[in-house]
Amino acid sequence: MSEKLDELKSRLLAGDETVMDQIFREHHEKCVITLVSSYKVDRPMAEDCFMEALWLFQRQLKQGKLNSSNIGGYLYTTSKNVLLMRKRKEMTYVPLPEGREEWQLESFVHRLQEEQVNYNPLERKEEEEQSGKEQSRRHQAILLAFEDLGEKCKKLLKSYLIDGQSLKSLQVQLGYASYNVIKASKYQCKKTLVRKYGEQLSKISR
Amino acid sequence: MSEEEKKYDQIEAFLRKEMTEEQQQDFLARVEADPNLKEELKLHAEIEGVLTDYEKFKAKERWSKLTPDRYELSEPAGSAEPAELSAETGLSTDSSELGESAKDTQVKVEESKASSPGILRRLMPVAMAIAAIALMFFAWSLVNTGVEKSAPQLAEVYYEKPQQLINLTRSNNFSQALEKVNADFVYGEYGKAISALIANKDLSPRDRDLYMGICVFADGKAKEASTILDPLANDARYEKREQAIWYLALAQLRLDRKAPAVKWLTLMRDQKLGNQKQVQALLADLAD
Repeated sequence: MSEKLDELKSRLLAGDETVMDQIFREHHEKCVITLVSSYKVDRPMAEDCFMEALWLFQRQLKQGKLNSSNIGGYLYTTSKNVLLMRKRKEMTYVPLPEGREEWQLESFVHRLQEEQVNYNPLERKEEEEQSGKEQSRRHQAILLAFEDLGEKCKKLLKSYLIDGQSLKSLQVQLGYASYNVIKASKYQCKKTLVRKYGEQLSKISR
Repeated sequence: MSEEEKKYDQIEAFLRKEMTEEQQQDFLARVEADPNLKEELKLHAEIEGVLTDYEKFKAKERWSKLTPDRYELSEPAGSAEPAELSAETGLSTDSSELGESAKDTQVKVEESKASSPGILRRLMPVAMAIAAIALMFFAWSLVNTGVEKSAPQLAEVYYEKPQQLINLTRSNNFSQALEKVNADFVYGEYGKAISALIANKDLSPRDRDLYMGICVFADGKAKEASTILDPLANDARYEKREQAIWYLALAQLRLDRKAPAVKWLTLMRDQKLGNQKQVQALLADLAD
């Protein structure tokens, strides 16, 4: 990692959020304009892809996985990849394996016919709504459970689960006495989070 | 190390892609054979996913505040004319209140202002004022000549940001604990408002959902807002149901779903729920 990235990383790990703001201001406009003009996408989409790239950059910087100090280049390439991936998802195309087109098509038609026979739009809508509500309840319970943790646990789990940092680097950064201590703490925090999640979920469902 | 700790380690190693190909195959075979392990893996993956998405959402929200306004025009150094103009004419020189062509006009005016001396320079404020008045008149005539608005446009017209939430909290036993939510909401910090709601233990789950639904709606996520507000709107015993129905109807409009929005608004009208003047005006606009 270059000196510049090292400095950015230490500031970021010390909780200085202005690091990312500064990078945003430096590269945002140029990157977004290039995406809009090169890939004919609307500006909000380009903005979102850029922010996605910035998020990945922040994560990799914290993990110490960045090698190139060309931040602009990294952000543009990542934004472009995010954009292309989204475009690919929009027009999902599954190629058939060679020589099996007929079989695939037959089974597909058969499945479709079966679905049409058993298809009940009202039931399907209700099912979708139910699963959407259920999912939203679970997500809410996760966030509430996390908020309910102590500050130390939150910091540890956030750095480990969300930023993807290793326990070894976190041991030094967060001042744990040894690797075994931080490992045990991480386990206890996660266990508490899962327990609190269960409690919140039953509270919400009541 | 306990069995459970070992299990947690393996799940995390799998999710963090820290396993070798062989370890991964072995782990997946065990997951297939053990429904409890499968459930546990799903839960851990969901926890990581939700927490990551939430942090990402907060980061994106922070960064989006730094986005320079594309149409914001910088005032030429040393020039006090725009401020003077607004003071003299009572017209706002804030470009956000004008249409795009107005902004273009302003750009041209600013450009020529920098290069043209003498009489032209003195006439510029007058030209700007005339252009602004003409554009405002044009915008006013569009609004008042019954140009049909789409459902999403109507949602924006009827959504009063952010006064609605403040009124709502004040009219319903305003709680001190909601002050932070309000402050964040007023400044458009929806992510922070949602965090404050989550951390707020004084609120009932239904009230929390209501405010969260409004925050999510204000943040432009109409689909998610609908999912949160729908159970509240359907709950006849909920004392703030009228608010839930109103925002649900606006969310439906934003999603261009006119029929369910009309259904909810009709219910509000028939049962005399909420601000009847507002409800009837929106229903009339939708009928046009």
